[in-house]
Amino acid sequence: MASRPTVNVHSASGEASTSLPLPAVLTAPIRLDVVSQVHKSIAKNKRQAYSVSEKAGHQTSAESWGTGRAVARIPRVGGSGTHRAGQAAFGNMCRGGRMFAPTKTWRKWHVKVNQNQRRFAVVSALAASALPSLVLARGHRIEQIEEVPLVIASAAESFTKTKEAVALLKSLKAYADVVKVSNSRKLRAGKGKMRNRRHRQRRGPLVVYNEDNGIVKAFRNLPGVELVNVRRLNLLQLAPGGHLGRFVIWTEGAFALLDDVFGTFDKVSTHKKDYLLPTSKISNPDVTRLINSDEIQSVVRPAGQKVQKRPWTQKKNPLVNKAVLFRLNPYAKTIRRHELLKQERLKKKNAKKPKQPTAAGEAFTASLFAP
Amino acid sequence: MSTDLQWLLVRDNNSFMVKRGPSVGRIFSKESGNLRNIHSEKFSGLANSKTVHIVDSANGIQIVSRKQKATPFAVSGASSTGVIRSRTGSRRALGIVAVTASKKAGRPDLRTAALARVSALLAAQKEPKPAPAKKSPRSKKSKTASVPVAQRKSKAAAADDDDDLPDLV
Repeated sequence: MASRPTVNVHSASGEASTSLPLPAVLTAPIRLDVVSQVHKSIAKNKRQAYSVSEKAGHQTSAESWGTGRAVARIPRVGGSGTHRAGQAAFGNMCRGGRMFAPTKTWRKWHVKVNQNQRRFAVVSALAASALPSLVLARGHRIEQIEEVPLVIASAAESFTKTKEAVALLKSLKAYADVVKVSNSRKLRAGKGKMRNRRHRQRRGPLVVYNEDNGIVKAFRNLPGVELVNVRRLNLLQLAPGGHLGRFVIWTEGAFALLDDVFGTFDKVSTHKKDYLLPTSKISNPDVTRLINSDEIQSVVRPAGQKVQKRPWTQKKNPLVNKAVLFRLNPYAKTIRRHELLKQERLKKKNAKKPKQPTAAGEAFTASLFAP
Repeated sequence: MSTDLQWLLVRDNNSFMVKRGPSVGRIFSKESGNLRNIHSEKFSGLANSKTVHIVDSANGIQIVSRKQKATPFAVSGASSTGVIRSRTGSRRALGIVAVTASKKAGRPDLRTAALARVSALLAAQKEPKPAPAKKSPRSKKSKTASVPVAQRKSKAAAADDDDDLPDLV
């Protein structure tokens, strides 16, 4: 990247007027694993304690009958005159008994996440929200908008009427995302209906502002639209469900403040003490570029001839088939040859010698054939 | 941001994936820019800086390609659209698409996929051939020819069945 990329600022009528440099946060490394892990933990911090009653299943004076009555030794309700008398009690296997391992209000409901990890996750989620493909992949309807990240002029911060907000979103062609939310509104399945979670719906755009001069009231009634101050960005809003790529609409003031809030790779943040942005482990993650680079191509061996693998030929057993054996282990040939030679030598050595007639002594023959 | 990394982020979960049933091996994908609608890095319309898309529209077949000089942040302004009008013949249409995919969009590897998609769209636009008129079922020839054969067959089958069955008495 030779020059720092810039992002257009869109006026209320939708066209680009001025431009701002891209804040360093939006080029931070995107770590899906960090985001989902941190989200999983942070999402637990809003839970309320619940448990079964401490007394549940123990509000009876049952005692075991002991042995000798030909029934199990489980505690039994005493007395007579009702059905309950003589029934087993307390145990988790009993009707009207206590549950197994009754839930306690002192369960560990909250999970602590290290501050640097939380910040890493937020920074990652912000960087992901600046990539069109990731925002599309999350399901936001942004096909018609001009660019991502979408920045609007600061005048929008002093909007007070929802009518103005709708007109702005329409001129930005971002209203499709609100319509998507509106159409997705369904009745929730289950008990949540009676617990103030009656409907479920998708998430729409997240509007990030610098100063609230009415913008919150102007936008907050639009289905799915959420608003947040740039100083209080929250992972639960930036990556709902742990999925990266929330559609974020920035006001100009908020966008300009990002470098202050999160700092850059070499300048500490003014809002977070001693905070520098995390750097990538690898400066160029483009694998194709890396492989085709001069540095690597000059070192690698030239590609050999293509070896056509024949998938359906019969596999030969190298223990049986000599040709295959010699291909795998060229020394086997020498071993074999030596073995054969050795056999031959032994054969020659051990062969039975034909009986040679021992020559009789000269004196003997002379006397034998004496005339 | 490199497209290799984007693919890693998008690969496991995204809103365009179509996984129907656990036993279905192939995962499909329905984003624009995916010529074969297959969830893979090569065909992905999300994790590629150069994409082509071919869709049917009211005016004819649209070829949408991503401008090669567009910044990575541009969304709507990054694509250029061409239309193959409905009166264009199939040979010309295929030629236009082949050139657009490999030259204009810079994806020669998607040439065959683009051609296949256009041919499928063209084939779908064709009016179906009129079905041949059905012969009236009462024509004499068919009646006389078909009935005895069927009867013979059924008789033979019956006889066979009898032979196979063991005598009960």
